[in-house]
Amino acid sequence: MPQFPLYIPSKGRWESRLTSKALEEMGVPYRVIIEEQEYSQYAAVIDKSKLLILDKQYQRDYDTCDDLGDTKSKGPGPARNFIWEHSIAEGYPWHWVMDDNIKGFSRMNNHQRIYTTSPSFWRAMEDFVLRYKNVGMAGPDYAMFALSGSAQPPFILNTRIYSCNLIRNDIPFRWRGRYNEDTILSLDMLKAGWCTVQFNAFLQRKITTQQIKGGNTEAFYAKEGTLPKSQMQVAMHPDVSKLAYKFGRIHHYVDYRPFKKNKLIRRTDIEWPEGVNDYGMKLIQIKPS
Amino acid sequence: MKLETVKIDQINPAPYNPRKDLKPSDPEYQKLKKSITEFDMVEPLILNKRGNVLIGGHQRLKVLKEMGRKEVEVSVVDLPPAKEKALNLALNKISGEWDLPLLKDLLESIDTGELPDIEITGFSEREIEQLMAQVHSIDEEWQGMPEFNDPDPWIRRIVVHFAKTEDVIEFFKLLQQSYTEKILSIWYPMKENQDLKDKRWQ
Repeated sequence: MPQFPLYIPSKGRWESRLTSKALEEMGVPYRVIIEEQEYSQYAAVIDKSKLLILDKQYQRDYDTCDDLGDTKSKGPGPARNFIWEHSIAEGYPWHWVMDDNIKGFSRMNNHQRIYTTSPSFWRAMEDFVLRYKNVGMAGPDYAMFALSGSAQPPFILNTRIYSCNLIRNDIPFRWRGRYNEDTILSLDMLKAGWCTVQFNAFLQRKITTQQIKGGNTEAFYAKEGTLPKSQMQVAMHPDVSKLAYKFGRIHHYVDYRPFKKNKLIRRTDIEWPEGVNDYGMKLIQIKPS
Repeated sequence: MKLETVKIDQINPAPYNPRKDLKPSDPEYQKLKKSITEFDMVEPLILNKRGNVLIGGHQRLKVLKEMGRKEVEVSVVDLPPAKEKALNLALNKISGEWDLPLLKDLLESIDTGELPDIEITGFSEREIEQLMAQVHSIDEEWQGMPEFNDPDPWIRRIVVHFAKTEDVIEFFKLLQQSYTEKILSIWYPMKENQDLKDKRWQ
């Protein structure tokens, strides 16, 4: 079982609630953070004890990093900051926060991606980051980015952690930005010398953002395209970001190479493990659905 | 030796300096500060005139800044990047604690064939091998974690540089592989990641 709490900020997705369903299948405890006006819809389909109502103060206080105030959605950042403080109040040193459009989780080994329903999936990643003094954030990569033919190690250091984030609570950062908050937080940490760990051995099966309705960012992309998002990225971290026009639309490119110098620092007060530890996970044959 | 007095705020510490950075609370830092207070600077800092990069004396510079010094005497050299790094290593070899991953990066960055002999860094090949054995590889960091194998480990890796995105796309076409911006490395011949839908980790 995971030792740190799992949270899902959710908006308008009480029908699909993909991540909740995936975590139910794994049998791990979780909480869903929702806005007050959607309580009845969520309460009709999810155990009420799992629901937390977002304190509106977090929306009022949120640093959107622009001058547009309340004229647009502030994205998932306010709920994620609420979660951060909630887990601290409960006495946890780390917490998980994940999007509500993840349909499942996989392990990768021998170039094979295989679904997992084992709760050890979470514990293994937690144990890994706890071996070091200087990991600020970690998480599984998207399964679709574990590309065929790409030579990949079990983890990559010092890049963006997105959509399913294990975050150390005592570091002096918080979510900010109306867009790109994952990249902004990752860069805030990396520039301060912290390491981030993106796992290829553990993967998330995320549905493409605009494939299912609802979500905090739905309002953005349908109306605006990706230009404001890319512009905010460049404004927040201009030293490592640039805009590029490729394949018929605006992209932003972030250069993570300067953070190669952030090295993992091992804790010296633990016995370093050896060999393979599958955390009790067993590979079984099933009928394909 | 060419000695000059320069303003401290015009000196650029070498970003690759592989020495452990001392903090004011470290005993070694305190010893250094006492020595400078007692004897002043008896040995100049070493500065590369190309970019005003500090090659030797990073910890002393830190102490001098803390002491509020505005100027310092330096020995000025004029070296290309590879030799600048080699001299940094040679000067630093005598004492102090290495930041091993940074040291490894530095040794790799100067091992480009430009230097007549890697041993001008002050390290013998044997010493380099012994130091590198202490740097942890990704496989070593993954000890005690779930199995992660590459059944066909690579035997040779070649880095190819492209000047234009169009050339990258053309290269992928020649290899009959599909290109996306996320790709950092590829296999040739291509290896497939498979989704095994008839298996599950429980």
